[in-house]
Amino acid sequence: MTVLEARDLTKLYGDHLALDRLNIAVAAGETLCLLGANGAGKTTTLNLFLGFTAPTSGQALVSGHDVAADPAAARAALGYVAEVVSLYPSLSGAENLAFFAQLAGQAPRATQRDAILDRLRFPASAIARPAGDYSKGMRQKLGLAIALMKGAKAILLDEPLSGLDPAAANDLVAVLRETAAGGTALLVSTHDIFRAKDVATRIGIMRHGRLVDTVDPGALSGPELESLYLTHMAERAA
Amino acid sequence: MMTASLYVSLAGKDWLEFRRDPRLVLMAVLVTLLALAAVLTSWARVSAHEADRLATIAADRATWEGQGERNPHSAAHFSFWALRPLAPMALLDPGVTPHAGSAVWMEAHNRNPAQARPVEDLATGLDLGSFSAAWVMQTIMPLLIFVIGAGLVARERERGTLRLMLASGASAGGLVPAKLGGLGRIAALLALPLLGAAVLASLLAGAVQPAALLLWVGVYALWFALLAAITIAVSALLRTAGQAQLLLIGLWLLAALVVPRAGAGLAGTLAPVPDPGSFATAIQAELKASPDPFEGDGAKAFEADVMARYKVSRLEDLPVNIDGLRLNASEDHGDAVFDRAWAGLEATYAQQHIAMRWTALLSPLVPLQNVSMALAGTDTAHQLDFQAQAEAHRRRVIRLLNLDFVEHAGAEGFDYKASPALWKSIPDFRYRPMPLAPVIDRIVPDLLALAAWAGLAVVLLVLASRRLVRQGV
Repeated sequence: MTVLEARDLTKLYGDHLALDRLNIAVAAGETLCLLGANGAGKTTTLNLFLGFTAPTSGQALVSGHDVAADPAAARAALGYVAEVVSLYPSLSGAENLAFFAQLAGQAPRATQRDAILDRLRFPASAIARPAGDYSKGMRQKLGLAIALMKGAKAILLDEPLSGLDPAAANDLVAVLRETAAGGTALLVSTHDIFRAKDVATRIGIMRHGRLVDTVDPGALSGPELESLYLTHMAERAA
Repeated sequence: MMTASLYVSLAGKDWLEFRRDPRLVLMAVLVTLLALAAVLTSWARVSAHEADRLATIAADRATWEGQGERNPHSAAHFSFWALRPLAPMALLDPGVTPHAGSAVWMEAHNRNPAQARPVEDLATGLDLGSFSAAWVMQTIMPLLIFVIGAGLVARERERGTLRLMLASGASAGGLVPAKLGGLGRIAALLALPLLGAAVLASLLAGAVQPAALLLWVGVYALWFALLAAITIAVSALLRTAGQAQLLLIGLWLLAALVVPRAGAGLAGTLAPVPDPGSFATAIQAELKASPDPFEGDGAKAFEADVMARYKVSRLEDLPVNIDGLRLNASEDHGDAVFDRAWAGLEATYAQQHIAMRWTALLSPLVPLQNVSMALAGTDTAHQLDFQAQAEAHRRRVIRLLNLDFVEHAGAEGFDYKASPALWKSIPDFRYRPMPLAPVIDRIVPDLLALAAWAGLAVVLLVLASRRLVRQGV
């Protein structure tokens, strides 16, 4: 079942075409990684799905809801994990979770929270500590926990693995796979080819605001994917 | 998300963050202590003033009644004080009372200005009279609210939590009202102990007009709502908490310090009040320029008029003492001069008040101060009312003494001595507080100015909210 869908989604910032007639669909349990250099249109795509900016033309749909027409209904089905998950530093992890759960209209339950944190391999002892003390990996997991507590059908992740040490990145990749396996649709923006291959069920290569290729990561080796990506980037340079 | 539940979530979170910021907590504790100290100081000042006043009245009365046999006109110069009681609500806002005299010396031929200004009795050069609950709420609390609230929206944007909040389900349109409610709750929790202590102390200090007290508290509630609204609007309109804090502190400096002082200076320049010496000299000059009607050329006409009134043809046949009548005529003549001079002075005060009111366009503190002082019974109008009541009492007393002279002096004239029974029959001065209705009538322009500022704050909030919805994060 398609959870996220872009139909000829286009965004112009003044004269700059940030996104050009994007057409994608992400089904439940699927992970689509948007791969591209800075300015390729990845973050613009996420912002359009989140309703943080309005499309110039086309539609972004979440669970069938047009984001521009009904952002509240669309956001109700969405989770969002930023490159650096912003938390309230003086509040504990548990208080942060409770606050965002309340915003989502959920009554925070400790048993549900603990189960999610356990699934995400978030250290139980850390949940009562101020979030200001958390490492980046812990913040990313808590961001994911916020989305899962909300019961999001789709989660948008903006460079979630950027800046993580290899162990933390491997850990998060495993968590993301498990999350998708649980039936959540994931749309991940990244510029890390190898991590994209690890986590995605499909990879979309973006350039100049356009989706120039879609590949099955299982059909290509890492070097082949890298070669394909560099070819597309070279076309851009040319 | 519903605004009400958004408010509950946000207000709870903002309160938690506030409680865990040691700098803000320390500042709030200091302001609370300062406020309670202000209430205690005011309580001590009002209590001491009332104790002094009652002791002075008792001593003055004993001296007056114990003066023995004496000519009534001599007693009219011996005289006594009219003392102004401090209204219990002066404890909340002393207004002009530290700079205004609270005692008028009552004597024949002269309308004396009020004396005994509290600031003259201070051992230090500090103007402790202004250290009050009103001063804390007008000057210090706004700064505290600005510092606490400057980052409430801007910091969410700055650190990225605004995106996460919106993504989690918070509506951009409901965010600004929810943040306003949250800051309102913090402001209320900070202000309530002060307001409660001040109101309780005021109620214990004496009979308060409940309607005036309620209105006073209501106006300050509006003031805090206005401050919270301006703070949230600025926080939502600017990109960073630092920018919002800088602008709000600038606004505080302008509204709380610069405008009221500059306004007072401007009003004083546009409508200068004569210094007490010049004022008294001008009155004396006018009195000298127009002698009493029974002196010089008017002497014969005055006597003829008196004889005609009593239907006698010789002064010796008058059933009353003409010197007593001359004293009364002298009072009438002097009173007309005093009335003209004081009317001019009051007109100057009114011009200053009007000039000062225009500065309300630049600072909502100006109308708030006007309303606060008026309801507390400590503004210039109340001071002028006290002086008018004291003057009316002086005229009544002098006439009673002159009447005794007229009726009982006979041929003895100035050698006549009245008995102590006359002194006992002279009533004490009793100040009657102004009724609330004319007080409210007078502050309607100030209330409208505050309402206009509140309207402006609402417009700013709506703009900030729309901008947040339109421009996103």
